[in-house]
Amino acid sequence: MAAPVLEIRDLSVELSIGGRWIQALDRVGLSIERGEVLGLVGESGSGKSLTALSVAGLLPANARVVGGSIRLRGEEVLGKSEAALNRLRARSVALVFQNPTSYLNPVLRIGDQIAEVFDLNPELLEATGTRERRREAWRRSVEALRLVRIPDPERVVTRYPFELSGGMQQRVVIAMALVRQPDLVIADEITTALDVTVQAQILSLLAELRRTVRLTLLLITHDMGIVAQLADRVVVMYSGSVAEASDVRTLFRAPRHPYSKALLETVPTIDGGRTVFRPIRGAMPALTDPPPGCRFHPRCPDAFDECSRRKPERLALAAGHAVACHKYEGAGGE
Amino acid sequence: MLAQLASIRRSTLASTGAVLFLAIFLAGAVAPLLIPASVVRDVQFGARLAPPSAEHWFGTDDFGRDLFALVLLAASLDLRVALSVVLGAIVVGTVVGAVAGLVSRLDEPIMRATDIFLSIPSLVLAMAIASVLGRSVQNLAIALVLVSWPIYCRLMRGQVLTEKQKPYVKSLRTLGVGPVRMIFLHVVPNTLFPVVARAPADVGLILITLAALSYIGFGPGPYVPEWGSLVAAGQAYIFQAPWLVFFPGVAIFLTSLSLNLVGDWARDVFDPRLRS
Amino acid sequence: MGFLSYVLRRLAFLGLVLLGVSMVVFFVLRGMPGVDPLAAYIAPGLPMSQEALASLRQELHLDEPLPLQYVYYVGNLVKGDWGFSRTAAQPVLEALLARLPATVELAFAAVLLSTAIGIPAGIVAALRKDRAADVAVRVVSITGISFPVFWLGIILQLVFFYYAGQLGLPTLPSRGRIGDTIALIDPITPITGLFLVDSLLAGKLAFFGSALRHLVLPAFALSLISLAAVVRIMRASMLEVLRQDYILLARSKGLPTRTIVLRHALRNAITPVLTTAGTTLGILLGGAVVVETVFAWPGVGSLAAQGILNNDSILVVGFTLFVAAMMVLVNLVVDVLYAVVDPRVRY
Repeated sequence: MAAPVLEIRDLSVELSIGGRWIQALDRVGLSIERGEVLGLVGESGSGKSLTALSVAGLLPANARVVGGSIRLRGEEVLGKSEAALNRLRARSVALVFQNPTSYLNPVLRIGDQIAEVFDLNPELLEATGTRERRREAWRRSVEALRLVRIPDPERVVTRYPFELSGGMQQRVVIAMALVRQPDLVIADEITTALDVTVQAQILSLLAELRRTVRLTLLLITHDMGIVAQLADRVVVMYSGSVAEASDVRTLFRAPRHPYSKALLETVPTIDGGRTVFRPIRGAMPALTDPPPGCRFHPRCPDAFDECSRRKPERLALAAGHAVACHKYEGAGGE
Repeated sequence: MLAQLASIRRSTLASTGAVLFLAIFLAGAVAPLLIPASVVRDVQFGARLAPPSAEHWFGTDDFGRDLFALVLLAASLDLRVALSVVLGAIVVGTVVGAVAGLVSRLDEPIMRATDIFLSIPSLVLAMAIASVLGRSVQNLAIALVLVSWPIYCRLMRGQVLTEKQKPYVKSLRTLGVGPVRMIFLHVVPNTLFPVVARAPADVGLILITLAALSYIGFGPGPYVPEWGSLVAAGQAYIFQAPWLVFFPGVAIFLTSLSLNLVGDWARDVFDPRLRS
Repeated sequence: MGFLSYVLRRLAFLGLVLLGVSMVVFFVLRGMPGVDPLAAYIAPGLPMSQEALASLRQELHLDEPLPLQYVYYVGNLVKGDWGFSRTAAQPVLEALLARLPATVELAFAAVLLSTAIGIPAGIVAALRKDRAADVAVRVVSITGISFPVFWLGIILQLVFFYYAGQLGLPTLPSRGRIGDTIALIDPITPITGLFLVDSLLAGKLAFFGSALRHLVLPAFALSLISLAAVVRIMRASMLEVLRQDYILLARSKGLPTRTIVLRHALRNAITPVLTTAGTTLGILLGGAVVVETVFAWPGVGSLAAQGILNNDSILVVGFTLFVAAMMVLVNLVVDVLYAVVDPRVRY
């Protein structure tokens, strides 16, 4: 069997806040196979973005990796030099972020921002000679825009970012990611800043790309609806650790971790004509002052003594289904 | 505010600057009290243009006067003028700026006035004003105040406008707090920050402008020591007695350096957004 | 189309400012309470007959109401009559224009020096924030701005001309724009008035060399004034830009630091530097007055300084107006450059 495109094992990351190093990620693990869409779910502050940034070696200056391994196509990412990381970012992994307007350089044209990818991946171009290559890079940028269903791509490619709508800008960033044919695309809350209709368009675009290009996608979101639409497998994170990992069907039908259950229940339903909201009690603990033992226990309806004493380990319940919860310890689970 | 002022200790550069400035300030404050006026008046041809020695630390000038004493006395004058000019500019500028911010009808004309003042380089404008008013230290000071107030006016106006939008002002209004009271008790404390950010470096700038103007010829005569005019007077003897030019210039440099060190820190601490 | 209307709008605004300056200048000249406006036009020690005084009064429309005088005044300005300068023994505008190229050459060299050194220094300081290089750059630039320029000029003359000569080392000239011998033996015909340009155009390399050597010390002294500001602004602006999201995306594409700085960051970071270029030039023009005096550089600044010593208010006031006009022009150029660099401004 081929190695997974991405394999993260026991990744631990610390953040420096107010002069102290505090734990932000605690032995996080996940893996993605080729052509798979993995949904990484959790509330804001759960550590999803940090995990994503670690894959590309783009952690902020106040963060440091204190343990674990990240393997991209079998190659270890942690400990690589900046030059090697740049090669990785150019070729293997592409990121798409949340707010497209701030992620596009306002003074450069769309075409330039897409085409510069080819400076780093010269082997993607067939032409020879600088002028022909530049023209080909430009042409390929136009094609990439067409791939993400941007109307009139020849005009758009000469425009500046501020001339496009939020939805179009996000498609541009997706195009920038796809044009270098990466092994893995990481999408971090890419629809959160867009309004609902645009969001739907982007999602349908992703679904189509999944079919046509065999996209391998790490889809980070807090929206369970998106997960249901696109993901093959799901990893649920809470306050820096993985709570549950399974395929999407199992998670939606029979979630094991109390947090996963509560998350699914937060999706509003319409019951007898009224919309019912079921938020989770309490709030995610601050990283600087986490509760002892399992970090979810203050909000957990099923918590018992052990939960406040010891942090649960990751247990494999079945093939491809893992959970970190004291309820399932001991033989047989529930 | 006090906490931030105390944080100067954390920056070695800024603390060095502050200590240096205080030393110079004290020297200048004490000098007129300790040095008899005769030092400036009396000519001693015997000791003309003597190089630095144990007796005359900085040497003597072409009148035989002790240069060290002259430099210290000049410190008193230069610092007094520079500090009072900046203080005057702050007072005038903040008052006018507050008016501009509060009375919207006056805002436009006041802003045009500051535009005009700001479009002329400070040295040139000071020159023009001083040449019309006549040559004296007082007129120089007036000219420099006229040159420096627009920036503070702009700062204050900007702050007042921002504060006016804030919710707490509107709620104070509904409680019946009058505008004057509001300015002094509520708005002013918040607006002081950018002013404090600028002031030290401004004093340094005014000091150099003052010395430059008096070097060109606006300064007081040979019987009122001033750093710039000391340099001008010494320039005639530059090859025979370079110390005459060197020491007053070093005094200006060290004072300006200490103010700039503090000013750079002040800018970072009190208004990191202030970039131009 | 957006570009053109933007330029026109800026032109209109700056024109108004210039008009305002002319009003202030006019008030200084004619309207100051307690000062007789005629005094500026009379040379001390040169008595004038009653008829001469009367005709002067009429010529200057001094008996008319002030606003009307202002109209005549502006009319004269536009016609090119800015008054007659005792010091220059020429009409003011003519004298200033004749000496303008010398000041332009000096100011341009100073700007070139301070940006050529300041912009890279600021970038390096931003990239190596809080490390040795950053602190060094900041200390050097603060030291640079703390030097009183006139004093620095004198010290430079002392060291590079006098002491170097004493020690037998090659010297840099301390006065003037060009060596006297060269000017006599092999002069150039002025085309632009800029010695460096004209001598190159004429192929006269000896002249070029001499002009360049004379330019070094005064340009360097003048450049220090703006150097610290350029460094500080470049550094702060670059730091601000490097924190932006689009830089993160650029990094995630695998672009090397050099490309990110030069292609993505610089164009965004340079705009505050451009904005301050306008004010910096103003400070430079003020500094030029002093530097030109110290180095006996035959520009508009040294003329103005002489005018002050001579109590030649007409010249001084004309100089002020002249400088304001130049500043307005520079600000316009800066605004245009702004629009070229940042496309968002055009709308």
